[in-house]
Amino acid sequence: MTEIPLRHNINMKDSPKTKKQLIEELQEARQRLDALEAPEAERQQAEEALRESEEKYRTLVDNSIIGIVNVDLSGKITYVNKTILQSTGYSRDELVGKNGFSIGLIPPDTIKVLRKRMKEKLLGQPPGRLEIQFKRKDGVWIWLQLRGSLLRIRNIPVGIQIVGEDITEYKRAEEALRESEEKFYKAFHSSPQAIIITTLKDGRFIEVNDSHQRITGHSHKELIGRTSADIDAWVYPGDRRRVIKTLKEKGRINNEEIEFRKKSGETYTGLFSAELINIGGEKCIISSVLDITNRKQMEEALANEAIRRRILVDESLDGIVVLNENAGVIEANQRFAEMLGYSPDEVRELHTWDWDTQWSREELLEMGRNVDAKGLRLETRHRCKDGTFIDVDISINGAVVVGQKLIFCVCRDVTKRKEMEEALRESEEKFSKAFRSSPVFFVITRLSDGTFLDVNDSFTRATGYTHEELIGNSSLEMGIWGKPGDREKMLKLLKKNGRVSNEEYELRTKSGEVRTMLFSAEQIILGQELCLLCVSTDITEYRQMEAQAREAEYLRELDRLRTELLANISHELRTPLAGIKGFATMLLDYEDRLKHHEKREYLQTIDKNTDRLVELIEQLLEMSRLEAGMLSINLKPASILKLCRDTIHEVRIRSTTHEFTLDVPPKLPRANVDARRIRQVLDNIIDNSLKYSEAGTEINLAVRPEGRELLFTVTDHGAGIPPHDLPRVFNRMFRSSRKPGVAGAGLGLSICKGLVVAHGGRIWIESEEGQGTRCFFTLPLDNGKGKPT
Amino acid sequence: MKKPDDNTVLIVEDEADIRTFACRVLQLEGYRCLEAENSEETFRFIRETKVNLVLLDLKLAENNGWLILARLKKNKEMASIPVIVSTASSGEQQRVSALEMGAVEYLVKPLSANTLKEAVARILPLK
Repeated sequence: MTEIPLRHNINMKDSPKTKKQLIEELQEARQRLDALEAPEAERQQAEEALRESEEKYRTLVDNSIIGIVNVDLSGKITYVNKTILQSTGYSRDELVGKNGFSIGLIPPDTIKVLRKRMKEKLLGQPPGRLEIQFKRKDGVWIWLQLRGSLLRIRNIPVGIQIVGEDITEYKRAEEALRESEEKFYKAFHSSPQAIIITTLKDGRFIEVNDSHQRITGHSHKELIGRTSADIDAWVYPGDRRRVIKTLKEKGRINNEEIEFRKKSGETYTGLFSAELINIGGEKCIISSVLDITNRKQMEEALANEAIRRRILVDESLDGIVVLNENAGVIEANQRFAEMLGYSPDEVRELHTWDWDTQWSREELLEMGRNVDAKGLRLETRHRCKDGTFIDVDISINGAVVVGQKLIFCVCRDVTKRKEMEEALRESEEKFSKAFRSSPVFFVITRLSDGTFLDVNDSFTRATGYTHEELIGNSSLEMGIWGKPGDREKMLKLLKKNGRVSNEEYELRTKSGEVRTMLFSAEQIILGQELCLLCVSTDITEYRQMEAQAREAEYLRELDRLRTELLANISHELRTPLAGIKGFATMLLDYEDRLKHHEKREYLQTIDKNTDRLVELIEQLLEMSRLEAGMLSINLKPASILKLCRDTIHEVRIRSTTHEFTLDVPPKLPRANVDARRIRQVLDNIIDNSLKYSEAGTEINLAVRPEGRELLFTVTDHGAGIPPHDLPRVFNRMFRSSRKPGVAGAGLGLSICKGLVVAHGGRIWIESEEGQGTRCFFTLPLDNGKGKPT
Repeated sequence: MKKPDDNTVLIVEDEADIRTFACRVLQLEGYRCLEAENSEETFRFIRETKVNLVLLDLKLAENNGWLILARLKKNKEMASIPVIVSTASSGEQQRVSALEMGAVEYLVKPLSANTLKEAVARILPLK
């Protein structure tokens, strides 16, 4: 039996011991346990030793700050130490004797891993660490780091001792670090400032962020591995040397303005900060650059602004002068000097009393003392260097600047304005004179009731009223408006257009005479009242002249019509003459060569044309008699029935081409007519029907009494008259376009109309193209009194 | 003697008597005469037949004479046909207008047989 001395150091009293030491001691003890095999005595001894050892060991493991769990090969928990109980919150009974794999304190995935590891352990695999999650009694999952070793009895594995360490805090810290790194990463890349990490030694790019790419145009890819010198990043390479020197001395640089170059070659001003850091054992610079080109530009703009303000002061059209408390000039702009006629240098020698004419020296000093930031505004008169005066409008402010009372004066030369005002006054005077003496009527009335407020002399002269009779009285009450309601109309126009321009109204004078006015009006405000300024002209005479002119125009038009008629008549006369002349000359010139029947035919044509000519002349005479009112109508009681029968009878003899019918009641009252003229009318209308309707068609004459009239209707079934021609059929010289070549001067219907109207009747035509035409006329029945004309 | 095709006169006139007169006189002088009453007939003849001269009454109904003259002179193929206008109106302004529009002669009615034949012979002489 070999004495195996217990190592003194396996002793609780030696603690605290490191985890490592404890584990080593445990291993040692185990080895000693193994050594106690074989001889019984030795075994006894060994068991004793083991017991002793285990007792000590148990105390050791029980009190170890490390959690220890023993499980048998099936996974049943055989032992847990106090630390395990403390850190998990379970009681010993709740764990010991239970299978560690099935008590639901370990996630299922982890159990698989544990079983695998256990198998490996039994096969003699080297020990490894395992991080598992474990559910505490309070339900919280904690992280444990486990190491397992085989428990053997007589070299036979009987279980596994698991040493566990709560690494939850570590895990949490790790997570925090990961999060922090992520934050840094995000911060790095999303920073609006360019962030660059370069080596201290040679300026090689280690990392750059997105903003750097945005600002410089260099991509991440093309920078990493290259140096700042490679890309010519520093506009002044000396800057880098200076930066590195400072960094080495002070460790950091804050907000220095440095010029950098972009990929495009364009430069920009960067607000540069940097620090030294260690990355992978190499000294690096982490720098941030804020592009302040815009800010610089703004600063420059501000500087320009100051210049502009300066210019504003210098170029101002107002004189600007700054005074001290003693009313002496500290500063004055160019304009102020010019206003007074001094040079800028001379002005600086002056005091306010040198130019002001309104106040004494004492008063001016007093004013200077009293003026504050609220300021005051006044009008005064300045004396210029040459002794002339200018009127000035001044606004004055006082302020204490750097302990000194300053008085700022802005002076505007209002001499021109004063002159303007004077001119305006004169103009008003002129207007007043114009108002009084103008030949045009000027009247001012109150808008609301038409009360006369002012009138000029022309108006009093024209109306016959005196000034006194008019002022204070209403134009409405005095009946000065010629037509009642005219003022209302005028006010409506005024409301609609804001003014009244050249409207014609009538004015009644005191004597009752009505004059025509061309009237204009505008609203004006006098005092507080809305008034009307009316300007009007008496156009009565002008209107009379105009009427005369219109009559003259009418006469000219009549003349024109007469000329046109003459031309038409001339044409109508020439047409039959052309036939006569033509055939007559032909007969003369070609007598020998013409056949007998030809000669006869041509002579007949000449005869026919002569008749036509005679007829035409007759018509023309009739026409002019009608127009001159010289046509004699001899009204006599006549039988209309007989008249109609005779007409139809004769036309049947004259023309055999058409069918003539008569439609009359058995009895017709006698009428007072000129029978010859009515025959003429009927013949004419029937002849028209003959001309414009085809052979074989019917032409009907119908007569019937209608009220106090007789209605005559002639109906044909001819071509009809186009609608556009209908209104013109009774015009002189009208010839329908419907059938060219029909003879006639277009006087027939015109004459008919004259004759019917002379009888006190009416005449009209209805027609439909292609259907035929109806011509109507009426004659009065009542005692046959036509209008003898 | 000209070929029959070279002495054709188209008489455009709505007064039948005048048409007869002009036609007979010109026939007696040796012309071939065509008679048209309105613009439709006028252009039909011109399209269908070789016309060497147009004798045109300006005062056709609805002033169609002027329209015919304008159309004749505006049409490239017809513009070369000489047109003698005749009218019962003796206005100087009308005469100027007609000549400006391309008429070769302006005759005022009434026409004697001699005036007519001489005017036509000036433009379209017969051998």
